Amino acid sequence: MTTTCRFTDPVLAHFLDGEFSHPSETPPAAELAGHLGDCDACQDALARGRRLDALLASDSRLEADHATVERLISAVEAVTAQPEPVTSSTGKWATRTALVAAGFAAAFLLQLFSGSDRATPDPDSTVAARQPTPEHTTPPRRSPDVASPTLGPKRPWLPRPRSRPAMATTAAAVRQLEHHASAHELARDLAPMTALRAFTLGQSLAGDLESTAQAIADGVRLEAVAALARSRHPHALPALASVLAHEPGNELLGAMVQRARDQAGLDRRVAQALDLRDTNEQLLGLAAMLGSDRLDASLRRVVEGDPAVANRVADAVALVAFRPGRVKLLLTLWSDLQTRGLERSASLVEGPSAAEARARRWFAALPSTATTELVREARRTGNAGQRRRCLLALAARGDAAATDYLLDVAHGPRFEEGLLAAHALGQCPAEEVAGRLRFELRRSRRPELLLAALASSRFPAMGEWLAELDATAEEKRFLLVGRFHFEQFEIAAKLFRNAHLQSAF
Amino acid sequence: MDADVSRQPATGRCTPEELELLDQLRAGERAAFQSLVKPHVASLLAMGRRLTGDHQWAEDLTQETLVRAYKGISGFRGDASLRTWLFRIQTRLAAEPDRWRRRDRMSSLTGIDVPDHLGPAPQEPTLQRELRDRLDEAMERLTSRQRAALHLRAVEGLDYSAVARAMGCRPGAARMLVLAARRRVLERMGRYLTP
Repeated sequence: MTTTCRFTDPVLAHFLDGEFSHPSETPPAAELAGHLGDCDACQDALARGRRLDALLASDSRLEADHATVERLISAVEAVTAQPEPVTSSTGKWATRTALVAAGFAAAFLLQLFSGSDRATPDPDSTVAARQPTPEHTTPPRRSPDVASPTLGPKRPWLPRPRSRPAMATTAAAVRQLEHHASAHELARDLAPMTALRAFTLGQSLAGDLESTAQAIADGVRLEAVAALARSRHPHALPALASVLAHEPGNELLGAMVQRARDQAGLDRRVAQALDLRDTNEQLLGLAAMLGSDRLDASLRRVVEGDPAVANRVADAVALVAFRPGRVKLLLTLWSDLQTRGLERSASLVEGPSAAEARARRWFAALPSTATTELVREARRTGNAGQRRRCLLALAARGDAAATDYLLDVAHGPRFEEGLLAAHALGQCPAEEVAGRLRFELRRSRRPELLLAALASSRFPAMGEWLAELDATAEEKRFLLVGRFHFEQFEIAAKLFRNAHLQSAF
Repeated sequence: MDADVSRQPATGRCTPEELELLDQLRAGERAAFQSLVKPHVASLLAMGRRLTGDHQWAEDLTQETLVRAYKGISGFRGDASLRTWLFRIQTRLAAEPDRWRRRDRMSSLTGIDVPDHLGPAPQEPTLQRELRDRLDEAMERLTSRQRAALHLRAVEGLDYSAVARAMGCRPGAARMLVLAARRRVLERMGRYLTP
C-alpha cells in the first residue's frame, strides 16, 4: 500500500477499513476521496489492499468441516470430563520397548526354526541343491523380503523396516521446485533435499537396528546437518532448525550443533533471517543454540519486538550444546524485559516471586560453567539490578561453587543483596555448605541470614537447635520445612532475628 | 458446512443466548459449554491454521484453547464478546507452543518438515495455487502477532477495539500491527495483486 503521495499508509488504511464512510464528516476523508479520483498510485494501492483482504478472507483452506468441529468438541468434552489427563510417557516408552524386544525375540526364533539352509548358505551349492527335499513336509517359512530360490541365495530374515509417514518436506520442496525452470537451478535446489533424505535414512536406520546401525546413522545425520548448514537453499535454514529442534537433548545434538557452527556463513544467514523478523520458534532455537555476538544481537532485537519469545530463547540456550558466554545474553534479555516494561505482568517491576520463577526457568538447567559466569558477571558489574538478577539466578541453580562469593555478599554492606545471597546459599545442598555456614556464623554481623540459609538448606541438626529456640511450635514447624522461596526466606530470617538466636546457639 | 459451525460475525458483547448458556454452565450443566463454544470453533480453527500453518497443530491449539476456556469460564463475566475472549486465549497460547504441542507428534518423523504451509489443494488452478503459496510465504514472514492481528481484521472482520482485546494491547497498537502486516505482505506479493 506504499504510495509516493502525501497520503500516507495509515490514511489509506482508514479508507480501506471503511472508516471513512462519511467523507463529509472527516475533512481528511473528503480530501482523500477527491484525491483518489486523480491519483493512480493511490488507487492501485487501495486496490491491492482490497484484493489482499479478499484473498485472505476467501482462503478455503482455512475452512473447517463439520466433522472436524464435532471431533474437536468431543475431544474437549473428553478432556474436560477428566480433570487430570493421564500422560504417562514412561508407560508409553515401556510399551514400545517391550514391543521392540518382542520383535527381536520373534525374529530370533524365526531364524532358529526356519531351517539351517538359510542361516549358512553354501556359495558353491547349486540352486537345485537348496530346494526343499521331499522329507520337508512343511515348506520353509518365507517372508516377502526373502529372495526367491530361483533368483539367488536367500538373505537372512530381518525385521521389516517400520513404515514411515510420507515426508511433507519432500512434497513441499517438490512443489517449490516445479517453479524452477533451468536445470542449473534444479540441481542446486536438490542439494538440501538430498541432505534431508539422508537425514531420514539415518533416522530410519537408528529406529530399526542396533548400535552399529546407530553409529552409521549418527554419521549420516551429522553429514546431513553439515550439508543443510552449508546450503543456501531457502528451505535449508528452516529444515536445519527443524532437525535440531526435534533432536532430543543428547550428545548427538551437541555434535550436530558443533558441526553446524563449523560451517562458514551460517550465523550470518540466521541473523539475516531473524532481522527480517522471521520469529519462527525453531529458527529462534537455532540462533540461540549456535550463539555468537551477531546472533545474540539479533535475538535481542527480536525479543524487543516480541517479549513472548524470550522464554523460548532461554530454553534453547539451556540445551546441551551450551556455549560459554550465553549467561550474559540471558541476563541482558531479562534486563531488557524489566526496564522496557515489555512484560505483560501487572507491574513493570517484577516482584521477587516472579523474578525467582523466571530465574528458575532460565538458569536452573544451564551447565555448571554458568555458575562461574554468573559470579564473574556479578563481581564485574556496577549495576545493582544486574547483581540482583545474578543472585536470583544463583539461587535458582543452588550450586555450592558460588559459596565464597555469596558469603562475601551476605557479610557485605548492602542488606537486600545480603538477603538474596543468603537465600541463594540456602538453596545449596546442606552437606556442601553447612560446615562453612556454621563457621561463618561466628563472624557474621547478620547471623540470622546464615541461620535462615541453614534452615533453608535442611541442615540435619536444625531440629535440635530449634528445640532451644524461643518460638512458637508453628514457627518451628515452618523453619523445619526448609527450601524457602524468597518471601519465605525473609520471614525465616526475621524469626531468627527476633528470637535472639545468638545466645541460643 | 453446517450453519452452526460456520464462522460467526463479530459482535461487541455476549448475546442473550450466550449469557443464558453461561448461567447454565455456572449452574453445573456441562453440556451448555458445547452449545456455547460450538459456533466459534470454526473461527478458532481458521485462526489456528493461519497461526501454525499446520492442520494438526491448529487442531491441537484449538482444543487446548477450548480446554483453557472451559477451565476459565468461571472468570468470564460476559461483559465482552465470548468470541474475542476465545481469540485472546488462543493468541496467548500460540505465543507459547510448548504449552500445547504434543510431544509425540513432535518426535515423529513428520516433524522434520520444511514449513508445508497449509497443505496442497490440487484441484486449484495453477495460478491460484501460486497466489496462495505466495500469500502463505508472505504470511510466514510476519511475526505471529502481526499474523494474528491481520487475520482477525481481514478474515474475522473484527474492529480494531476487538482486535486489541484479542491481542491484549491497545487499539492503536492493534491498528499498527495490522498496518505493518498489510504493508509487509504487500511488499512481498504486491505484483501478484496488481489489478
